[in-house]
Amino acid sequence: MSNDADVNFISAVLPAFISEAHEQLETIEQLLLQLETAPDDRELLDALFRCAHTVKGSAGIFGLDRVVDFTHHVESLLDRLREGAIRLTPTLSTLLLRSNDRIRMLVDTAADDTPPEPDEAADIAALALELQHAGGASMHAVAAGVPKAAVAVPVDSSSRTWHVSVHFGPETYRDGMDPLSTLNYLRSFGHIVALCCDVEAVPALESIDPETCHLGFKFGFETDASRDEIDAAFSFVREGLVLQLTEPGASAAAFIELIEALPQSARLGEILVSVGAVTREQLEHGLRTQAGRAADGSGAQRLGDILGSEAGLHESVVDAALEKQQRVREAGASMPVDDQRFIRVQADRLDAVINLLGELVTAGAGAALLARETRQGTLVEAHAQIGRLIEEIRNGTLQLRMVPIGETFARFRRVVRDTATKLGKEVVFEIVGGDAELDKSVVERIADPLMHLVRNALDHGLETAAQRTATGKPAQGRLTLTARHESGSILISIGDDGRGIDRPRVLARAWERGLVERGVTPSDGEIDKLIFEPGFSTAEAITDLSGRGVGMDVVRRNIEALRGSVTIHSETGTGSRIDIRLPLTLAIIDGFLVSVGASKFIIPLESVVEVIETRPSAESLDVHGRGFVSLRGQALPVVSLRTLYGLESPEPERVSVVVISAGASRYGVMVDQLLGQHQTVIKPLGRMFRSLRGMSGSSILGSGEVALIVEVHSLAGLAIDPPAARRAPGDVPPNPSNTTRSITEGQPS
Amino acid sequence: MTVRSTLPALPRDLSIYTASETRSQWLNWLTDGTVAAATDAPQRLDASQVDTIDAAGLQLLLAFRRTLEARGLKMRLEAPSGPLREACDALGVSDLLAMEHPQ
Repeated sequence: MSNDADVNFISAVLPAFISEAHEQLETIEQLLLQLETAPDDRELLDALFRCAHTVKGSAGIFGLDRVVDFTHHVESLLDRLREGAIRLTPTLSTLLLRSNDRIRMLVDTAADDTPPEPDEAADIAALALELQHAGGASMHAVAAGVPKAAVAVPVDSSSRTWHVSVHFGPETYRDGMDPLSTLNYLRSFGHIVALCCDVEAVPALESIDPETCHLGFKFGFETDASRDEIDAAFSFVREGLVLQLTEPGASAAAFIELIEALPQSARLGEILVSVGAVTREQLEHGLRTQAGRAADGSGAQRLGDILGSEAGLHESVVDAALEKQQRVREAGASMPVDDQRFIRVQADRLDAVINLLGELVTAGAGAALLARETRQGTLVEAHAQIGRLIEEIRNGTLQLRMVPIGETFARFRRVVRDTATKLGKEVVFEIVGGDAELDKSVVERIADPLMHLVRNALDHGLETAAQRTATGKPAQGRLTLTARHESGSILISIGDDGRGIDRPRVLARAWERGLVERGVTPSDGEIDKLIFEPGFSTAEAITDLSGRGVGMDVVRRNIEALRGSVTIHSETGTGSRIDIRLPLTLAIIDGFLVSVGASKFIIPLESVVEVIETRPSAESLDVHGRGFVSLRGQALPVVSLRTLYGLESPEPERVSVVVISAGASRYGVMVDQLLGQHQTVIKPLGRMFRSLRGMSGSSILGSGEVALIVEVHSLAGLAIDPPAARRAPGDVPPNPSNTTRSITEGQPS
Repeated sequence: MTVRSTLPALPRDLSIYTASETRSQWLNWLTDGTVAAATDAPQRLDASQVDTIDAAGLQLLLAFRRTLEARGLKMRLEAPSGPLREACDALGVSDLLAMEHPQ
């Protein structure tokens, strides 16, 4: 890995390796956790081994020796588990989880050439030793006991016996690979029979270079895997590899049958690859050989013949394929190979597209506005058409960023397991609705706050088994993480069946901190909300799990920064539930544009229920603009944006009330004018307006004006919440942020 | 045990990491008479301590056997460890362990 080309290559593809390795490591973790309930599940164990093998293999390609060395120990141990030589005990599982974390760290620092800190190196060595011991502890028992064949893979009746002849490339060891692992990997999905090592190829001790690989093998391989799957087992040792896969016996007839059944394809090689008669590697190699022979003048050769000799392909199979090819050519039809595949896209490229799309939406709105001003019907129509297309592109593009939240949830299994063990609590962890999708950037940014809430529930919410049984509850606590879509947003709930919020203690702390005036007892709901206040922590002993200073207020701030909201519901003795509402995406929404005086506001369209007209009645509103209007005989709480934000403009004759649904509550927003639907590109609020309640962002209109985007859940708080000021004159002002009054200041309008 | 302790012993780590070293050691054995002293008895090696082994290690063992055979000698691995036996099985070279070993 010394020359420049290699270095360049590695720096270019290393990020892809790291991201793939992370996926594999994540899978390993999930598999380990699944195995805790089913420690003998052969398929899971095999999958586990394959993941570790893949990580080691790809790390080897990049010459990441530290990753390869350490992962090798994990792989060996997993191999022994897979063979049934040792059993996956909880202790072993913990060791493997720790090792997995270590691999992750090694992968993250893979690009770093500096040697590890002495501490770290010692840690790695200690862990490697533990792994060896764990694997070796019962080794002799096995060696003395059951013969190996007894633990062999059960062979499915549909499996076929391939003949495999393989010679490993001379650089195999130096690339960090081990033919032993490759063969063991094959054993994870088939049964090797009549294995014969080509010992003649190994030179004598005097002449051998011990670091060059001289090993070759011939064996039968019983499996129901396809040619490509078998071939893929050798993908990490490809360099210098000579591999022949032959399916003897009746196979030629079977291939011919497959070829007959194929859809139209005009290329011989493609035909052979698609039925599995040769692998793509072999085809490419064959094509190169063909080209090479044609070039060096040794005479053109037919591809079929080359494949026959190189890949051990039966002549009749080639003939059948040639015949098929001929027929396709005659028919003059060639169908594209329709393959549903995933494409890995770099997140920043996608972000760039979405940013451009945001600009396009804004520019499109501007152009449409100009078109309307010209009053030319056809031009307006053309712009309307463009607008519809932009909207479709917008939806499609945003869809690309949507990922299921389940992956994030699944990561918490480990956290729950480790935390519960540390606290000595028994916990059942449930995930509901993991397939609900939301924007990737939202998922990424919600993970930490969620993690904190999960830990909090485990630490403060759930009781120990002894405490639980004493109160007549089942010893095992229950922690549930659910996600579901709800009116254009996603609702994530963390529920536990623990002790609930200790309100007397919360209140005592609130008095102590001056959050609530001493002697005043707010309602239960308001006491619960206090835990989200800055600097609030009731943990008497600060554990290393929660209560480390980063409190629930940080969680709330993070969630609000995502234009989300968080609420808590708690019942003493039976548990708590924290609900987090988040928008599905951060980028663009459908908005409903309204105006108050010269100021424009955008209300997310999905939360608008209806619009009613009413007469303004300033005297019925309080100083914060709150009041009630009658909607079909029911009192609907309303808030006037003019009063709330102190907008200085004359009151119009009639005002409109936009009825908004926010979760379970409904309220109205009083505005002057309704300006209609608007595709809204969300821009964050500037630093000045960060603390502004009820608003979540801003957007630039086609005309260049700035509109503020209403955050319906926090505005609900301003509209519905009975203001504390009405109840007790000495109370803390409920909305300290309302001091930021003149929000239109400095806006271009 | 007394017998075994007098035998030349295979290293604990018989892998790519130690392959060069091990090869030099074995070549020394050949010259200093630790093995292959003029006798036609099998060359007995204590294989009980091998706890880490990979294909490179086994390959080296095959090379060693080949050298001994070239001199008309047989190699016999005494009390092969679990990992060694397994690696031999996994790579199809169980004939390295031709002797039956009481366990």
